[in-house]
Amino acid sequence: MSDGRRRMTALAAVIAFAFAALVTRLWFLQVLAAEEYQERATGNAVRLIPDPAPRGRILDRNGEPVVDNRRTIMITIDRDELRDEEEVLDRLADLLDTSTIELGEQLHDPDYLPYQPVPVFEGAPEAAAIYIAEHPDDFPGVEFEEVGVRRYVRGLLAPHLLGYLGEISPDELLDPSFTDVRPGQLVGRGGVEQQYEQFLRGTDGVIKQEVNAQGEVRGILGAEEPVPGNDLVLSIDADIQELTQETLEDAVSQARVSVVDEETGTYVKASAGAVVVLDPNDGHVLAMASHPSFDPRRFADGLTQREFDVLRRPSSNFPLSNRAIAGQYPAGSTFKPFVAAAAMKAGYARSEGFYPCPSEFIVPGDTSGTVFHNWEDVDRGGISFADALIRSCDTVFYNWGLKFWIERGPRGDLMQHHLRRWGFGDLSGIDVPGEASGRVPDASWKQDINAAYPNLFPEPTWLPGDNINMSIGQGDLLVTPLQLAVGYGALANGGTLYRPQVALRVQRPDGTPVRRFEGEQIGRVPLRRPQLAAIMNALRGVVSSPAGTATGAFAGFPLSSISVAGKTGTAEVHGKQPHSWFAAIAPADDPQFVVVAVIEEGGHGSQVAAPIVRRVLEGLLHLEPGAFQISEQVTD
Amino acid sequence: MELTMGRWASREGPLRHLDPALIAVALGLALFGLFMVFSATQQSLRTLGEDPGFYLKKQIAFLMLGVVVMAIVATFDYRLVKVYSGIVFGVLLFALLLVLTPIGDETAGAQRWISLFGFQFQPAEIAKLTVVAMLAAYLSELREVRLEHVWRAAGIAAAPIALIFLQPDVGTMMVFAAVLIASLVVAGARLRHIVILLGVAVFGAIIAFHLGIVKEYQIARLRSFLDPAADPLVAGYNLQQAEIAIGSGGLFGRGYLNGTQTNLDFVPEQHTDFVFTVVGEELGFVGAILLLALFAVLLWRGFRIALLSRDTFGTLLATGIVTMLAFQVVVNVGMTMGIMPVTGIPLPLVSYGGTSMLTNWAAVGLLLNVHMRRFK
Repeated sequence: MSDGRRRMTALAAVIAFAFAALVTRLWFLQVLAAEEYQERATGNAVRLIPDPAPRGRILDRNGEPVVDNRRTIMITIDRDELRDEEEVLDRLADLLDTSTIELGEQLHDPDYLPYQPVPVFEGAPEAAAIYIAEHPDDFPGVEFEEVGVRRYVRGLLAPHLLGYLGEISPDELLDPSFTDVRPGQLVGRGGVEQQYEQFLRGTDGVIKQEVNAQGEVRGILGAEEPVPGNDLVLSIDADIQELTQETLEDAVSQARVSVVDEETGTYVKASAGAVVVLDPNDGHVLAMASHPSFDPRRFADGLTQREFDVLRRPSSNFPLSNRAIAGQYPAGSTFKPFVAAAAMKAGYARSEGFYPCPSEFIVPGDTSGTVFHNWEDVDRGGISFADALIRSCDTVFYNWGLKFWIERGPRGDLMQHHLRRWGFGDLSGIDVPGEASGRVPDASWKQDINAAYPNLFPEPTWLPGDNINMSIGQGDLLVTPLQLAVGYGALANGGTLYRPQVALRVQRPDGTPVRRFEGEQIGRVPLRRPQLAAIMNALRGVVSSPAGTATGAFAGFPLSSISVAGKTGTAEVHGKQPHSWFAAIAPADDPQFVVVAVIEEGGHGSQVAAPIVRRVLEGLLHLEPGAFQISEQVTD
Repeated sequence: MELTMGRWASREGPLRHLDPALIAVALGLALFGLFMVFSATQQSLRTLGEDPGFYLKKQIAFLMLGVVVMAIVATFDYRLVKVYSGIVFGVLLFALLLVLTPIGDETAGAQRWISLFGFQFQPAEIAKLTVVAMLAAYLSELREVRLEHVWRAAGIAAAPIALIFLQPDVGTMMVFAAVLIASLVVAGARLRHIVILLGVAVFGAIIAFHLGIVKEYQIARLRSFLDPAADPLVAGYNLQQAEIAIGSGGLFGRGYLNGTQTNLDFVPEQHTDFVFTVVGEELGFVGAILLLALFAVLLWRGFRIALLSRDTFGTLLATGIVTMLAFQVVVNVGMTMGIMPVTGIPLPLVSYGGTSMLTNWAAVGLLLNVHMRRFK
């Protein structure tokens, strides 16, 4: 082989080697890694557009819709197509009667991916949408779509209980239970919207679009239909709820102009209040109201940050707070049935016993001069067990409270132990978020709080006076209206504590049941039926006997055909006007309803809270409730 | 007339010694290319409301013109090339100069085009073949290749390289370099001398980088070749999309006209420099191997002609052409698969483009010419 030939062979070999390299690479790409590249090609060309599922409705116990969905026009902007941003936003703000700044803030929300159209305005009038459609050159990249938003069929009904919808937070997005939720989507906030999110939220569908390198849609490859969310049926009766709210509003506004606070001589503030209506036989909530309140429709239309801040400002008196479950107050005399029950259990009280009811009480051997007064300045002598409750005689209870202190036991919490059996000091477990646990204070609590705040709580030791105060629902005891209702429910049903519930069942949009929420027992109180009957009997007297503290409020009520058991309370808080309480069970012979009302700084229980309960009971018992009327009777 | 024909068709006459395999494989590649160019462009044209066959029709016209050019080039004796290559070379250097003046058209930061009588063409494409011929003409005259001859040969290539560098078009420059080295090797230059030449070239390149003569976009392309994931949004994007197209083709491809990467415009420059991605995506490994096999046959015929040539000029001419084609195939296909830097080199006979098509057919014509006249 000549030199030239050899050199040409070498050249050919180099080329052959290069070709071999090409084939090797080709083998790698097209045979070994093909699957990965096929996936990436699909990712390139296929865009998944979510097709939102409608959220389930919320119905009342009679199947009446309370919350459903309506279609609204949402204005969106595609940032890729938007030109002359400022001018377009100015035009848009003009058209939608909003501000350029607000639109701009929405537009630059970092939670949206670049190719996603960003929703900037919800609830646009149809005329505006038509105008945008007719002037595409004035609104480059601006589009609109119809979306479903919450419609509150009964307006202002039960906003605390229902909750509202808000955009999912970055933290929630990391939560496994929200894996199918995208940024910008709405999820339940507060109330049953939050509690039953998993049922109410449907499964979004997906539209598969074919897109080119510029992101332009070239065709539809397929679609998965959205699965609508399930409907939630509440135990709430919408009509009773409406009556309850209306009564609470009326009571507050009337109290402010007619009830005089004895201490200051001014009208009471009646700044806030709450009402709970329970079915004592299974714990289902029939109505729950809290004042002040808010308009859930404002949330549906997209609440601005400023509006939200106003709602959370202290001067607005926290309208978002559901005081029926989160408001914590001293129970005052509405607590006495439970203290009486504890005294019976401990053997201090018997249903046929008589107990001295002097106007004042001094701890034997106490030389400090501390005097505990009855609410009325009369020595009633020896009174029956029933009369102790009917007259709400404080001194009888002081005596029992002292006995509990004397026999407090090694842990020092004999009294507290009995009271906690009724559910006080602990969450009831209601299916509404935000519940407060209340407080049954004891020696260790007192020690801890003294250590933490020695200036506010200078006394570290649990003293007889602490028990004495607690015996009339005062001192450092705190209960929520809901806890009180659960306790009265146990009195009414023979001693069973039920977990309060607002959900009755979950069902598909066509009505097929998915899940039922039966009454759930969470405890039994350690009393025998005759003991409970004695307390119930006494509570009837509160409403019906001439000496009863609530007879004024129930004047004219057909007690002969429908008996009512109840208890007033006037809870004192240092530096504030007293809270007005009333708790009732009706019919007392065959308990169907427990109603608890509290008005913050509303005066005596007999004056404001008792008439509220009366009017709600009239509604529950189909007695055609008249106008709300403040009672003139001033009792504890 | 009859006498002429007779001489052409005589036993050892040129017409009897056409290389039908060479013509067939060249036509095969060009037809393959027509299908690929159509696939690469039809969907975008349709979307724009244009005739989906717009590029296809132009490419068919180029192909027909190319075949005519091949026929003309094959007609006259290739040794005339040796005589006239100097003149053509001069004209081309002038044309390359013109490209750099405002007469030249600029696309994507590079001046490559020149318009003449309403036609656009790229002098650099023609220059490739001209340099091949010039080098063959010069080196074939030498009895022994000494270092001074190596410098002179390098000098011949250096003039167009310098002008093309100013456009700039690194890819074409590298084609010249490859042709120069291959021609020197086959002409019998000493290995030592070639190493010296390469050393000087590398040194020159380093200086060029440091002086900032190399343009921004070239450095970016080179960097994206070295690390495609570093900048996926800009420089590496083309490369990644090209790899996705080829890789997603798998063994048998996604079917002609069915490639999503192709139809949805994910690969830029797809009918020209990145035409191989259409083959990869729609015809798969099998189709890509078939295309490479066609090129292999083309190159094999070229080598065979170089060996059969009756004179050194023919051998060097054929070797230069084979090197020119092989280098372009390897760099073009390699760059679509991420194993070669992305440079503006078309796939010979397959990529869309008039000048490149005509030049390559002229090259085939020259190979044919050498083959036809190997006995005289």
